[in-house]
Amino acid sequence: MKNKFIYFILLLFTGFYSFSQNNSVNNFTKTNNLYFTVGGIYSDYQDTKFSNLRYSGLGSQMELGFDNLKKAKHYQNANFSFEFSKEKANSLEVSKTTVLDFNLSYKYLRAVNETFFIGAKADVIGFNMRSNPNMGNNNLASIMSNHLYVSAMYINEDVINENWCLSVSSDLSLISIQDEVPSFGVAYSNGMVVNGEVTFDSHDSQLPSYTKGSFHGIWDNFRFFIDFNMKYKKRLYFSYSWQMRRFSSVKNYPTTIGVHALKVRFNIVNRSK
Amino acid sequence: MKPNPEVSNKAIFNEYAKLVKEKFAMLKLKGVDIDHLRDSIGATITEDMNESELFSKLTVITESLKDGHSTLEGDTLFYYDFAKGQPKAYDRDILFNNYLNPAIDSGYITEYKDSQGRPDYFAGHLPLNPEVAYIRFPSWILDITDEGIEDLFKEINRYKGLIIDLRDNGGGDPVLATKFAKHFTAEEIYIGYERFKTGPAEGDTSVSKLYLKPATSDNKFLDKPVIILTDIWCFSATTTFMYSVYPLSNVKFIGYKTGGGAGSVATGILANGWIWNLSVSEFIDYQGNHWDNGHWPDIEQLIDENNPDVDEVLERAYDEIGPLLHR
Repeated sequence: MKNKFIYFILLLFTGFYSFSQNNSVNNFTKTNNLYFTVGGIYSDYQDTKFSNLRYSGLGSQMELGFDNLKKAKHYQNANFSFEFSKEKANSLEVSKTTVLDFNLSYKYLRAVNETFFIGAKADVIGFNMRSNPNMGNNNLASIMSNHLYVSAMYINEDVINENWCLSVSSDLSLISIQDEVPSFGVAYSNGMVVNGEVTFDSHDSQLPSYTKGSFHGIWDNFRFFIDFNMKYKKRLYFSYSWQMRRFSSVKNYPTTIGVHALKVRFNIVNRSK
Repeated sequence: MKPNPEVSNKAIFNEYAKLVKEKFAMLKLKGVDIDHLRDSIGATITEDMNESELFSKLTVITESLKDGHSTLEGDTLFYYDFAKGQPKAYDRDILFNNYLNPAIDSGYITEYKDSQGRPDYFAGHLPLNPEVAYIRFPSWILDITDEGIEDLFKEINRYKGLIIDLRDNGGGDPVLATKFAKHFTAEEIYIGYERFKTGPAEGDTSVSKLYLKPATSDNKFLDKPVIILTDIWCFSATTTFMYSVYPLSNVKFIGYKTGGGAGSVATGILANGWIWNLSVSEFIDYQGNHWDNGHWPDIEQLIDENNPDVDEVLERAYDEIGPLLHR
């Protein structure tokens, strides 16, 4: 454990050394990055199927990813993110809900010009879980969802000076497949309950599943991301992101999730030419 | 997002009444006029009521549901006492002092314990009839693996008949209960359906048909007489086990009416922090019987509380199963 910590510190210093060299970072036509991101989040949650109570809390986010930018050609990104937070209803003295979120996605954008890219993003894995031991049979709530997004990105390479680069990207879900636990009432897969497939042969009914999921459009499963990234030289990014999702597996009873994140990204590997 | 809900007395009452109206799956079966309750009790709610007074107003609704799964928890837990006033078909002292007492000749009974050394379940036979296996599950939360279940069925298959004592078994994991039930059938049989609430309107329901599928096991207990002992405390996952084996012709129930609790339960929290449980489904068997009001046994038998030496329900089961063993 101690050795790992030392390697991590050395890695950080290597990075700081690399961006402390006074060269312009943005005059490259092709850049590949393997990166690691850490940050703090503030999350909000409301499931009106059960209550209008709003739950919110602080947590952390980590990301590991790879991106590839070819100037005036394309941008692609593979990203794995993990979020952990503790939420509670502000008005109540009840135990906190533990929230875990995993997402693996791939994004491919084509350049419209040197500063603007447009394309698509797809979730490969999307899993969100809430656990509250006070909630009896409903102590676990989980969502399994894959979205297909339309995505856009804007890059300004000299926002302050040649060392700073601004990028803004956003993703809007167009279609999705999703299943969730609980359904309108019972803590079983909504797909299994609605389709009349509940069984006590196994615990499958208590878990969401893509195979039991249903397709949704933007009108009943809205999900939107926006990221503001400020890149400093070659390896360091400071970013703010916001995501919002709102869906209704039962009409007029929406579930809403919002997450604000402040993050620092570090390019572990940076290859530019 | 919608704003946080109000926490006035009226608002809390209305929130609970709305939840019951939208989620409780058995308003019709239990004869509950929730609109009438909401209006009549709601008219008596004032903002100067203290928490205890408001709680007691809400529990009038909980009580009216006549459902052991539907509870309300504030500073205290309120539940419908479905056993109140019901006669007894089980007495722990009588059973353990006279039949499962290691100090007396109790035949060959093993008390299985969980990983923390607490009593889990009993299996073996009693001196009443060494040809008949006896197993007792006090709950369906058991510290038993799939291999343990196979070993148990391998053991009881040495016997010509089986008595399963489910008295005072208030439930647990319906999947585990079903896993045991699957050892009593060689073929898939239709057992009934569970009707779930899927939305706020009365007709917003879905139906899941339930089948008892045979276990993939060489140790299934087939074509031999099985008697299940029941009482008012047979509830929830025990009802799941019972309705699963109910269609089998070699299975009989002896004892007293069960407590019901066939439906699945949802849990939530009111804006003031009180926790509610509501049954959000109901089970109807292949003959159209609703099991949520309890199920009467094939043979009704009670215990005589004035006779501390005899468990009449257990003895009756042995009397009934004896003649069936050599058919």
